[in-house]
Amino acid sequence: MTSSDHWWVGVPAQAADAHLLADLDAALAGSGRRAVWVQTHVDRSGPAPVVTASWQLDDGPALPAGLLGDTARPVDEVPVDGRVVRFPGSDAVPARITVAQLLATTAVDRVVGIGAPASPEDVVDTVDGYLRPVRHPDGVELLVDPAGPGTWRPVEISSPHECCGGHG
Amino acid sequence: MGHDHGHPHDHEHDHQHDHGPVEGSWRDERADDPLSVSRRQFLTRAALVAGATAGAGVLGTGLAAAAPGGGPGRPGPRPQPVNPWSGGARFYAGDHHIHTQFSPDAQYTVETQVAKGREYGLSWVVITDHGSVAHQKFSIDQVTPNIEASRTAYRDMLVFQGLEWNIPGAEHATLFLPPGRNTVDILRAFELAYDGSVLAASGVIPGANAVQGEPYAVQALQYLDQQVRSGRTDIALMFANHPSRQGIDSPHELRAWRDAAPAVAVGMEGAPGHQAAGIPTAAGGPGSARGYYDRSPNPNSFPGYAPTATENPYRTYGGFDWMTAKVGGVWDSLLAEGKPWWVTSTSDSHQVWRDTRIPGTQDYATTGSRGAPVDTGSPITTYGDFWPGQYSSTLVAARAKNYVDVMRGLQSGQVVAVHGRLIDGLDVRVRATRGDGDARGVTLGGRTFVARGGDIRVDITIDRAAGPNSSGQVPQLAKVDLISGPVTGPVADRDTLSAPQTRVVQTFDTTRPAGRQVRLQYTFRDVQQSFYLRLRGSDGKQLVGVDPTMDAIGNEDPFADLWFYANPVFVDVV
Repeated sequence: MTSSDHWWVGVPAQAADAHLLADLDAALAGSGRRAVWVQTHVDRSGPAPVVTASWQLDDGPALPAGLLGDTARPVDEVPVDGRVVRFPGSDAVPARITVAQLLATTAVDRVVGIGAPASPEDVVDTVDGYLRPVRHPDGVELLVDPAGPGTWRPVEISSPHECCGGHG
Repeated sequence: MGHDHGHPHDHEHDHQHDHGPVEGSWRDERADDPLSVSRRQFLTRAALVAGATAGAGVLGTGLAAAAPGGGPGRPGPRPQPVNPWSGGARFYAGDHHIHTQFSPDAQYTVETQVAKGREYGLSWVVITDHGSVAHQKFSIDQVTPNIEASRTAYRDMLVFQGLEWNIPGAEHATLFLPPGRNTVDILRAFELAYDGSVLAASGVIPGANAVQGEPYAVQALQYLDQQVRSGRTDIALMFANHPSRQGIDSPHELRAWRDAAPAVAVGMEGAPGHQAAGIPTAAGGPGSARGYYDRSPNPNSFPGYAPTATENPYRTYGGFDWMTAKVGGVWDSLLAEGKPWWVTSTSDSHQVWRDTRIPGTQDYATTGSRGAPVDTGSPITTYGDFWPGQYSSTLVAARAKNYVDVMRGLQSGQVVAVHGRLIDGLDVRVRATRGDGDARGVTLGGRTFVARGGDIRVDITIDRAAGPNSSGQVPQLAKVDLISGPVTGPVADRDTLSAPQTRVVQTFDTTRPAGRQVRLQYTFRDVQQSFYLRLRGSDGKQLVGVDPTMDAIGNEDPFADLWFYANPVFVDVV
């Protein structure tokens, strides 16, 4: 149950990325383990969408029962179609990085340009190092929009334009 | 004013407001004069009768308009054409999406926005500050006299009072009424009862965008429809704003609004505002996404709108919303049902690119206003908007330049969405030229008919831009696409988002001959099935094949990628 082979799924108390990561890290503090992959999903099976999370821990000591909350449970397969919030290499992504460097330094498997292929020497303008690739059955994919010659912008950025003070 | 309603030359009169009191104003001194009231009621009835023809397309449901009395093997009565072509229709440019200091994220006075719209050639504007608790409580009472004052100060401008409604469970929408005794009361009651942010603040729904709000959106539109039916207002209209920006206007919601109140919920922004937002930082622009369309799916987004390797519904295409820009996309899927749904183009003006002003310092939440804007003296390059009319125009054919007639023009779909003055005018006539049918024909937003096997001819006359747009260049229309698809009736799956049989049937090269007008013609021969057709045109500067390119983030000169989109004509094959 505590091997790094296992993924966990749960319904986070707070769905926002920063809260999700902080809550997970706080729960694991002092346990000798860390969540190295964290993903979010949207469960649309009910009347209203619910954000769920999945994560994988690194190797380490056995976890005390219930440490990760009531809803958390281990699963046998890697949850796919997740929006990846944390992944190996995600904490050190610069504002601008070439496609080749991004693939070499992070767990992103491919960068897919919308409407045209992204070349290895093209630049991904992450704005501030923020990346939210998506895990598909065949790998972790970063979808990017054209942003000028030889430049791409991830489809999801950290701070899109906020309308009416963010209440829109 | 308005004395010549019903005369065929109404459209020549665009100057009725040069003298005398402001028509329809609740400050109109004649409003309490019994003679005036009866005259007003007469005019209202005249407008309703006039609207009965124009509005049939709005109220009719697809093929039901054709041969309602016909039984098997027996021809029914001849269908009634909708929006009959008359030639020489007069268009009025306007903007139905404008913010002022009475929005928390905007800054200008009403007077400034009206004056700028007038300067850039608009005839009508709608003031649409964001709905909210503070707006409902504090802003309405302040904006109302400001709008009245602007009507008086600019007698040749129609200044509508409206609201940018937070549609419960969805995006924003323009909602507006003509001036009238009950206008402010209706707007105030509507916002209190049905604005998504007000409902969320009172705990009725978990959030303005939450799916739990969807039934309230339908009730809201039914409420407005009831205000019209009960005579409290002559007309009320709703246009869905920036529909693809967050992917939260699902196809079933668009259909639910349209079907709940087809005379009120009549369309959407074909192009969002904020068209300066994509100007590169290197060119002194904000370097954001055109239209501020820089978002991605969130938990409330419709999953069918997912970005893929081939398209991103969350971005603009040639400055237009993906629903409108994609041939065979969401807009076409609505039209293929045979029901009206019109597109427009607006400024969404909050803060104008290179303007020198910043918002006032007043606390919006407790006062409903930002106060007077403060002039910094230096152009601000991070702003992403244009002034009303500076870039985006919605051209509306109206019988006369008055509040109700402009709204009836919008309601009837005699509307063209234009960017950067790509064209100055468009006359479209669609008629039966072979076989039993409507030989006179109809124009934009209309519905005509022909017997099966007949021919339908489309005659298009475009007025090229007669002068420079606001960038100083005279735009050149390079091509026009005629787009058509079969009318296949109401969809079984209300989330249908494509019309796979709709396609570009002809692309006309309009680079030559030069001259003031472009005349185009196309004939659909031996028609076997009811269909619709529509037009769009471009300066040809950014194309993939015949289609617009997806706008690049932070790299879009809006004046180097101009389009117009005209609203459809339906053809019933009987």
